[in-house]
Amino acid sequence: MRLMQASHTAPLEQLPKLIAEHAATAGMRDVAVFVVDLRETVLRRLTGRGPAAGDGGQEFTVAGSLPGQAYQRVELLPEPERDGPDDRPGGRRWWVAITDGVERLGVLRADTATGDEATRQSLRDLASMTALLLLSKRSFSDSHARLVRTEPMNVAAEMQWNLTPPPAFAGLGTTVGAVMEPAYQVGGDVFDYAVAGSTLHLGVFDAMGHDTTAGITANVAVAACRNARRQGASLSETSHQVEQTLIEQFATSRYVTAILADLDMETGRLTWINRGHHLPILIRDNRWTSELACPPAGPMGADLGLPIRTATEQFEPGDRLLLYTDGIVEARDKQGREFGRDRFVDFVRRHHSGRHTLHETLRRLMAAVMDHHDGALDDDATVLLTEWRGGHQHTLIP
Amino acid sequence: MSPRGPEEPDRTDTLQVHVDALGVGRCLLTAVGSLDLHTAPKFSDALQPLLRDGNQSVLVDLSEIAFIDSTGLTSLIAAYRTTRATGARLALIAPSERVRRMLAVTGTDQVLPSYATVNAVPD
Repeated sequence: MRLMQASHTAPLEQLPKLIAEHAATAGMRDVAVFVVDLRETVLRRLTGRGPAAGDGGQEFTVAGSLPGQAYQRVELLPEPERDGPDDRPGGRRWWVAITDGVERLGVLRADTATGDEATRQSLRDLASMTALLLLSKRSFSDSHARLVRTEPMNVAAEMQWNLTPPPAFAGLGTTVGAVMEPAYQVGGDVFDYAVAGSTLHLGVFDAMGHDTTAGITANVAVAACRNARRQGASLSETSHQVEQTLIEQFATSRYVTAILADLDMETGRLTWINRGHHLPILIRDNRWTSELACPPAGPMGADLGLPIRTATEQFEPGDRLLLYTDGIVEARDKQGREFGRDRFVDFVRRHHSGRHTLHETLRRLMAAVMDHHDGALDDDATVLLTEWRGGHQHTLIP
Repeated sequence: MSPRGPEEPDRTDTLQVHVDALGVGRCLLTAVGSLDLHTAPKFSDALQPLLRDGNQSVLVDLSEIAFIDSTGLTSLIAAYRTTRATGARLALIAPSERVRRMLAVTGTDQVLPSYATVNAVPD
């Protein structure tokens, strides 16, 4: 509590020192904070020094390091005894994922004299508190923005990362995760979700083109969508409003395809419309998958005059819904072979069946898509994955 | 968008377009190659003038379009919109699998009719 109050007037740069000082009074020494980059490949120490607040800091890869393991598995992991501090026999060095319970922000390192359950709980508490402090400071921190980037970013991506909600949500028996690539050179892809009462609004958008105007188009579309939604418009009314706004701004020269959906998190009822986008995929029981059907009403802004049909689907507990853009399935390797829809769905099924959390699955999926495409995508690729537990959840592990 | 390097080829060459008259008020535009970000302006420059005459029927052969992206689709939607303004007729001939998939996913196939051959297009 004292740490929370002390943090109110501290910028991001002062957090590591503040956290370490408070942790020391609770017996956790040499505490260090590491944040993960945008693509979740490296963990960089937040030192508070220099233009990126990371000068003089160590760096670990997410794949193949112990801190990376703690991050991937969202766990508390000790270093082997022999690597512990020599001057403190019996002491241990720990790595714990920094998470607000939903989004993974990085890892925290700490040394303790003992390894009992009370100590482990203190470490988890400290990581939770650190997550909340980072979240409260990063939105106005350029240092943080620099620290989590490993490449220069284009203007469209700068817009898109400010437009999207956090890449993770959990609540009311429902978990949502999202990934978007190329993280630094995105064009017109964007995802959105929001909660109102028991309704979870979901959307995935793809603005045509790959230039900055595509990014502007996507921004206008999402803003118009939220504006209509917040005034109580239905899905079809919302998409009509988006269409009108796009025509006013771009005179039918710019279009956006989208799936807009509402999930009732209490009943599992999904309602959705198709504005000329790839159809959603439903994964049930981890055994069978199906493409949901709804005739396309044409891209928003194209004014094709097609009827907007509303489709419904009753979820069963454990169902997962995949909304995605074409870059995921159409990424091509050197021989021109597409990553493909089957490989995409199969990947999610194999990795998200108890082996990994939803967000770790998405991280690995995007790494596989990028790898398939030799590390650089031509087209934008976005996935929004929603899992509905329908009251059968134990704890929601993001 | 980085400036084109000296060794990078002119990517508009990946699309070939030519127009044949099929008699009075009817013509066939054949496009071969890739209809994308780089070539869509070339495609539209050839197609749009043909649609300005409201009495014209314009057939567009897309059987040899190996690749189409969202910018390519945009040029087809723009062509459809021009016909709505001028009254010209536009029909697609034997669109390739890739083109057909994109037209179907977006619903554009509902407004842009496709025919297997030139002869299958009604007068």
